[in-house]
Amino acid sequence: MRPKVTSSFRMQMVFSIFGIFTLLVISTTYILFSTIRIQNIINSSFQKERYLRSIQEALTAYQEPLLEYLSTRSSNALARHLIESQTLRNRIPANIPISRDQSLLREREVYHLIDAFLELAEQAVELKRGRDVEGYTRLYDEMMDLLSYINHETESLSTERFRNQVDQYGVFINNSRTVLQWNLVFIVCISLFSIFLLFRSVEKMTEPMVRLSAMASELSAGNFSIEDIKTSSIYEIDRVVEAFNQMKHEIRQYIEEIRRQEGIKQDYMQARMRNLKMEGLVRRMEIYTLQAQMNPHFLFNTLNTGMQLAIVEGAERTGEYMEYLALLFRHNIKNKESIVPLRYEIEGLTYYFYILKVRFPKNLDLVLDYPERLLDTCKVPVAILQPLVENCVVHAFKNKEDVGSVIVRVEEKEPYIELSVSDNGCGMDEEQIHSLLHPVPVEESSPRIMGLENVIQRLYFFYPEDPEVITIQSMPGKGTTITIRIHRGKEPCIVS
Amino acid sequence: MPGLIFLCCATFRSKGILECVKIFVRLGMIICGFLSLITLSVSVSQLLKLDIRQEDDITVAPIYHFSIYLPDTQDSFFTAIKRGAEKAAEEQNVVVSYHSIDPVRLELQQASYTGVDGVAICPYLDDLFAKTQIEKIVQKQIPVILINHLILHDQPWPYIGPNSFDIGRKMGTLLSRLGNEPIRLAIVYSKKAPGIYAERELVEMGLTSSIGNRLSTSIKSFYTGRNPLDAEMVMYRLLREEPEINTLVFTDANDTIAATQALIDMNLVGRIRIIGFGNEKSIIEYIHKGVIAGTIAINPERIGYQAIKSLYELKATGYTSTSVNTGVEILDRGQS
Repeated sequence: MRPKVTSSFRMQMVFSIFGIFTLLVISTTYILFSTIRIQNIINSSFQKERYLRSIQEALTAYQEPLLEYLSTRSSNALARHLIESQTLRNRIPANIPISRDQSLLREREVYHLIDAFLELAEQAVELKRGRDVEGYTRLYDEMMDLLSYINHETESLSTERFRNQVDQYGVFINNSRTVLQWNLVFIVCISLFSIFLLFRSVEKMTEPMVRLSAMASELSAGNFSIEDIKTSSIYEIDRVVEAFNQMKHEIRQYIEEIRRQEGIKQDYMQARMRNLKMEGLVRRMEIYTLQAQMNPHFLFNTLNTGMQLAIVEGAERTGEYMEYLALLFRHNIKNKESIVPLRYEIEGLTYYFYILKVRFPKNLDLVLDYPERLLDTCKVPVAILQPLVENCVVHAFKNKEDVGSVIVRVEEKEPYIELSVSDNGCGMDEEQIHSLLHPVPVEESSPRIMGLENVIQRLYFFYPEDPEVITIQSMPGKGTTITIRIHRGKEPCIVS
Repeated sequence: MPGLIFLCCATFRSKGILECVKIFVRLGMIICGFLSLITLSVSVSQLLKLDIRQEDDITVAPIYHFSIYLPDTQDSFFTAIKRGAEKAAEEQNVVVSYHSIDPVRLELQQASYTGVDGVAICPYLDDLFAKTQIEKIVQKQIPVILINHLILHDQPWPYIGPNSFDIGRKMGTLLSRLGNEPIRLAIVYSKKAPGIYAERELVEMGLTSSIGNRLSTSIKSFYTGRNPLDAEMVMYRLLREEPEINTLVFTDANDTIAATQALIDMNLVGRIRIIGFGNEKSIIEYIHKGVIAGTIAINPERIGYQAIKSLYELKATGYTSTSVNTGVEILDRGQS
């Protein structure tokens, strides 16, 4: 785009200086004009009197050629008379308006009297030509009376006007002094205005430069979020401002790109760390499982032998017990999956409950409550209920004399499935609950891990985004309820 | 200005010195620009109004210019005539200039050359002089009317003023109301009342016709000049030379007041009855006190008013009433 000539730095400076100069010249011209007008008014105040007086003098001078002609009938005198007469007539205003001002009325009368005097003079000359001596002599006498009256009226009028003007002159002087005072205030104000205008122009031209330097300081300090500098009306500065703004934008975009890449890298590193931790946990679980699977075939064979022996000897109850024990062991070792249908988990728990009922027929009451429809539709991490029940049996009823109760309940609370294990045992204090729910990192924990802790850690690993996947409500002496809450729509976080 | 400083300080605290200076410059520019415009406007308006002369108001230009020629005196009678003339002039949209009828001043002699549209003349002392000048004016086709005093002439010059015979008759009527005793009467004429003075015969005829045979002696006449204190001197002379006089009639307000005061000074109240002239406040008070029996009042303001109206008619239409009687009033204790 072609720059406008008027928006260049040089032209702006020229305009500013020329504008202020013009303003001051106009102001000074007005002051001069007002002073000249005051002088003109003073000058014109006596103009009418001077004019009337000049006519009066001309009228007096006019007597000489008239009298000369009336006395001598000289053609030269007649010519002078005619010229003077015509000159006087031309000087009398043609149409004098009637005024309400008494002095103007008197002036009007004076002009009429002068006109009448000239008429009489014409008549006297005519009578002289006609040699009517008596006529022009009488007219001359009348003219002298009239001239005397005109002179008297003119003097009287001038005196009266002068007397009136003396008072008005005082008022005029006061008024003109007021005008001059206002002019002084005006010139002071306009000078201040010009100074401020000059400041404004300088500021307008230098402001973008100041902002540029401020922005440069900010950028050098690493602050790239500052606002763009606004463009001015000066072309050269606008070019610099635009280039600077563009440079700032590009640097900011570049830095943002670097930051974004750094963020991605950090996320990747975190994910990798987490995977490493899970791998460690998995390895430890595998060790745990292997420990639990010690010589399973020997145990199965032994249990089968014991079961057959019990049937041969007619001990059917013992045989049944041995059978359930074998089912439980088989159930525990046959599955290699991390996530199993709920039915599988409930099935294992059923075996385990039978064994517990045989072990504690009188002092343990076990309840398993679940809706049938959820068993095949819901999946849960493997081996999460049995360790909790085992934990109750081992720890909750240590010092308890009466019948212990363990209730395992499955409920659907959309969008969650809620598995709870409640007992009426000795309960836990807050510190215990807190230490259970906030376990030490895997790498710092002891190799031998408790069943409950194992469950908690696994749940946290499978559902890292849900800190309330497992909760414990307990008070010392009031029993304990451990609740596992699994979101049905979310897949567990499983390491492939 | 305090607001500007406060604003600058507040800005300085919040935004720093640069913003503060910027606001100061902008506000200063606005305020100074505004003040410059105001002062320039005031200066220009004052400059345009500046003039030594009073400009004539020509919004409604007067139609005619009339002149009134009056005796060269500041008497209240003539002041009232001028007041009435001004009132009529304003109504008719004309202007009036006033001149002296005194021959020495040459004003009436030059009246025909002044370019006026009409002349009203109050003849004074010298009827012949007045008549000559009026004829000169009429020759120039300038309308003329007479006021307050009629000059006998073969031309029907319009007249505005009281009827002198009527004045005398009213004086007689007033005297008739005062009692039935014989009247030894003296009339004091004055140069201050030229109209009555010029028509004194008519006044005495009216008086005689009214009081009839109650006059026990012939009517004596006395004269005062233009000095308002002349009446006092006349009073002393009258009492010395004409001690039988029991009734005095005055034809001028100033004479009435001066003579009444002299009567009080001489302790002759009750012995000589005074018929005054004019309706001045002091005369009315004397009537209330019983010092003056009554007074004859004419309305000079109406004379002035009617004079201008008649001149306007004469100039505009060429016709007006030949005579307008402005009336005479009697004021005594019962009516004042």
